[in-house]
Amino acid sequence: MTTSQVVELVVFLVLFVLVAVMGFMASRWQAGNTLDHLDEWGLGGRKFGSWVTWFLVGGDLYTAYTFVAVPALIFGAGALGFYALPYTVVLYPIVFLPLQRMWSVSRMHGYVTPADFVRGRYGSSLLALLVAITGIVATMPYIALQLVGLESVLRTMGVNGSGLLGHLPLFIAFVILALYTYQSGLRAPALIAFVKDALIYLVIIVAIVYLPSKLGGWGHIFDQAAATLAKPNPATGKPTGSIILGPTNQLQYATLALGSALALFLYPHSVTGILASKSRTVIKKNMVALPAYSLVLGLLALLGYVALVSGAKPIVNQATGKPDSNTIVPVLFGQQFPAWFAGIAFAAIGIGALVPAAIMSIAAANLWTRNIYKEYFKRDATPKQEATQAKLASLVVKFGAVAFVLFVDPQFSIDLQLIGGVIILQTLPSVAIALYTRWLHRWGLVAGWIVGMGWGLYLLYTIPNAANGHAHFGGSALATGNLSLFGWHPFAGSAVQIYVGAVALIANLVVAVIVTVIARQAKWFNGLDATNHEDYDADEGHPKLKEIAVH
Amino acid sequence: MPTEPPPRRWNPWNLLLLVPLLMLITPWFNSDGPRVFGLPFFYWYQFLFVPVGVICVGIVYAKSRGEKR
Repeated sequence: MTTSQVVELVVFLVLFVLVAVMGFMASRWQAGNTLDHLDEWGLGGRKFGSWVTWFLVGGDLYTAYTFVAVPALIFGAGALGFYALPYTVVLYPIVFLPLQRMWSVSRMHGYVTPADFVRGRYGSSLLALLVAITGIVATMPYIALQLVGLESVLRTMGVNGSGLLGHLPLFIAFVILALYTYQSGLRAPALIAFVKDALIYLVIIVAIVYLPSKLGGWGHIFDQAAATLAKPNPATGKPTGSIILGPTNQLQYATLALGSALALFLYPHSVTGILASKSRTVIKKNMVALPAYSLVLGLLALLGYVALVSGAKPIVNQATGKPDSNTIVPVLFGQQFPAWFAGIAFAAIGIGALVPAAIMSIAAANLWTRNIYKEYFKRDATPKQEATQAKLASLVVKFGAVAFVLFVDPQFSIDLQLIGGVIILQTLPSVAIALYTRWLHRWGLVAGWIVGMGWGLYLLYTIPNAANGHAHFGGSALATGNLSLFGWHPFAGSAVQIYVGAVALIANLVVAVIVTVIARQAKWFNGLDATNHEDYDADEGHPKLKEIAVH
Repeated sequence: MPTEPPPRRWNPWNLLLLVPLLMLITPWFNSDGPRVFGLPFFYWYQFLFVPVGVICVGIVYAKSRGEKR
């Protein structure tokens, strides 16, 4: 470890301890009567105002992994990695109206998870179970990736041991996180998010002003990056990337951005952030204000090019023996910034991992408790038992994620995250469309889910990655020429690529509609709807709102 | 068959929410030039859509206030 690494580590530790103390104190922040209720532990009392929600949801959606992986993607492939910007720009107009309806109906009925809503809307515990399991499975690798993000800064600071011992610092960080999440629930990440986001904004603004001028300006950086990306990759013989899109990946770029935007608010942790807010107005204001983070993300993405030109090299992960491209932004900061500021930057990324990891584990724990434990194991669970169960589940989820990182190649987490986006998208008909209409029949939704899920996973399985030699799960870009409908290739010979999630979602919807038509002809029972249409427009102050945290 | 809710009050300003989706049409901006401050067209064009999105959502929000719930 060098002297500057020691300085970085000290700054990092000071900030880390600061947020840990905040995490423990958070249980007393705007405390309700009790923490023994999911409304309080799992949703912070459903009373966060505009500012808290902005920091919380911002801290939730723009994760450490995003902050290290998006520039890493640009570093590796060029323009395609910039999809993160259109993704987070089209996101808010798309979700602006549905999220308000989701908030209203959840607030009227005390729903804590998206699966709760599906249960109420269709009276189907099977459909709710499918949505809950999809949510948990999609969230787990996402939590693991937060750890990958945290570990990438630890390794950059020289905390890069080999074997199991090499993961010890990560383990300690997560034990602390697990403890204060257990104690304070959603209030902990909500409070810490203030520190995280303040640090992130500080670091990005400095980086974006300081680094390009130091390295010869944007024009020079893009010219150099274009030249570097044009060199052939030794593994494939083709250029590694380019600074604008090519003839085959434009559809992939657009569908990946759109598919990711449609998927984001189907993730349980995003819904948790929204349901914790106190009114529809809070949500509307946030949909206008959250793109500030998109701007930051877009600027940060460009640091991938800066890293390419600066000659930064990814660090070899001593635990796996492979270079880890996710270390590229931390390495860039370490090389270009004075040690004390690099320490702040690393703390920003590290704390940036803790906030979403906490929210995700709470969301997964809520799903487990409400839609599996209460539905299948203990129907008469009291709110206190629910809260206890969720707290324990949040510990299990976190240590599950740590085990993931300890025993599984990080590449596998990245593959799973890729899969996560495709599978969570398959809940769109049951969750998002159901907010507007019950026309789709519940058996149509189940059938669509099965087909979308099965076909999506199969397509991901068939995609190889020439650059790293993986035969399966090599990415989410499917050549449309390989698309086969029972042996018929509608786009035979085409090299144009498309996002697998889009293909699977279309299949899902088509099947859902066909089965719905059949079910309606056959007059199959479509379950009971516990919601009224006015529930979807209710706002704070409505006389029939469900009371919060009542036993 | 359960009765469907009656159609809701539709605010035509909501159509503005479709405008930001135009940024998904990649052929319109997939070029290196003209550059601004050294940034290729591909990048600054998409950055411009951040304020476009904010303005569109902001107008829809403003026009929804005072709406009967």
